[in-house]
Amino acid sequence: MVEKVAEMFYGGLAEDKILGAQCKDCKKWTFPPVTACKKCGSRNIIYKKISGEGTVYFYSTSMLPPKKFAKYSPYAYGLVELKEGPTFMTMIEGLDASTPEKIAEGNKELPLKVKAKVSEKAGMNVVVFKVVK
Amino acid sequence: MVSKPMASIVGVGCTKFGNVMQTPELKGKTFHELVAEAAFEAMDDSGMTGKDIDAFYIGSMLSHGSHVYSHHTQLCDWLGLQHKPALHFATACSTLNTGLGLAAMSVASGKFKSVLVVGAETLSSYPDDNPIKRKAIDPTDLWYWTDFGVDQIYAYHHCYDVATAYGAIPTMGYAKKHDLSMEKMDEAMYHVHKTVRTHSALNPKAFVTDTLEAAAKKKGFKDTLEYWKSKNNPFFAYPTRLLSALNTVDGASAYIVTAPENAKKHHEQPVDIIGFHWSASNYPWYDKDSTNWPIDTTAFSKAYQMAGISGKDLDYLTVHDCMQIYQLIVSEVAGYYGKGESPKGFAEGRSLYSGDKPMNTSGGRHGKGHAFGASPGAETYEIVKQMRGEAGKRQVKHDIEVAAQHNHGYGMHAAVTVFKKR
Repeated sequence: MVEKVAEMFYGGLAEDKILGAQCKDCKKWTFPPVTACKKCGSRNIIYKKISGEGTVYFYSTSMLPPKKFAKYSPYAYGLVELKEGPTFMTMIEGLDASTPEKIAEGNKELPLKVKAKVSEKAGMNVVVFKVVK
Repeated sequence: MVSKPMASIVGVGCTKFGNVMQTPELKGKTFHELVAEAAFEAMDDSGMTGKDIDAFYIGSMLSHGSHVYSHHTQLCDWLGLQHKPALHFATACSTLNTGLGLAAMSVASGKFKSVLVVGAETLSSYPDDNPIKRKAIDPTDLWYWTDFGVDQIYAYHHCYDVATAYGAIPTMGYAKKHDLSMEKMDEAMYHVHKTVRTHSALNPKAFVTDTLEAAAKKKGFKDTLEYWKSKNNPFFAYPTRLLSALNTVDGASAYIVTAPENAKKHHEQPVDIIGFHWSASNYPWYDKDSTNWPIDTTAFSKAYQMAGISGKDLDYLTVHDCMQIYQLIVSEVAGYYGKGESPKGFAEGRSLYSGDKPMNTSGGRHGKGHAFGASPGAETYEIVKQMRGEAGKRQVKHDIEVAAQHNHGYGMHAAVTVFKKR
């Protein structure tokens, strides 16, 4: 029987709990969680909270964001490596994406430590990261 | 040692790429007629009729533009292939590259002698409850539907931004890896784009028909680099400029694959398929080295292994260039250029049709235009025409013995096929 992983993940966010999956065989983490280990393919996985700690390496913003997120534009969309290993991309708070010049300057300051948080975006709770000062 | 052919291409076809509501060669044509036009050109090129074709595979990604599902049933009679084995398939923008491997395996198994593969896409507009009346598609709707191809459980809802993920971050990653200032990186992208435009201006089937020099002059610029850096070419997602991105278009492409021993009966210059491989990944496609994509390294190494070649054996390369940064990144992954050497190669004109490392001579996804699933067929068409010496004004100057084609299919899939001149 396959667990309702998506419901577990988004339900967890409602309780401020950010879930990943850890493989019991190879010990690697998968984030966000799916029904098998992303590294070795094993189904022998356990769903558990991630630390939320990570590092942002790059960010930018698009002239043509999806219409769902147009109201947030321009927003910093960045590449984060989690402390647990997986990389993830989402909105980053605390980075300036207002102009190309600001994005160029901002990227010179990277990498920076970030912390995950739950935030409502376009009517859904999702995971974003905030730069740790 | 170069491997024996598993199958051979004996006919190719491709429509003009453009807009079925505007482009004179396409105006008023339906999805079905685009399919037939490309397929019939391929059939005529091989001297085959429907009777000689044992099966056909039709590739197409976006049903929102075509208003077609079950493409194989709707098109079989239009192609003169009623009651033949047929199927619809898709790997998004790598579709017609994937079709090469599918058709080659079908022929190599002995099940079919000859297979027609045809791809088509209509992205400008859709039939407005009437097959001969079309309504233009708004770009934000087009990308809303296109993004169904990326992780819809998590990635899309986490503020997804394709231009940053596919353009900006790999470009910044390339600059960082090779210690290029962002100004130098921008100039590298300028040289790639100049190459793109030179090629498309020489391709009568391309969407963009003017060179970068001509476009600059039209806006009053004598210096094309100044034009490149001007407000006429804003950052689509810094550091990726608008002109480094694709142009979505309508169009169709086709090829006929047959058993190697039969190939000469159908065309005096068959092009052999000697290797291929595919690799799929969910989002994100890379880790903190945004230029190192496991799907690309896997697809190239396995395709080369099957073909018995290395990147040094290539006389021609075409890579997926929805964003032109991949002409730099992937040409190095392919071993066509050494690591960090492609910007210099483009600046020196080595990847022009007239250079020693020609690439994407059709004009790629900006110049030729990007008809999603059908685009790789246009690149196979180009390879076959170049190998035969039929590429007209953009004919590569040296003999092309071995060529490789790489494509990305949204979500992300990598397909690599290796070709050899007979």
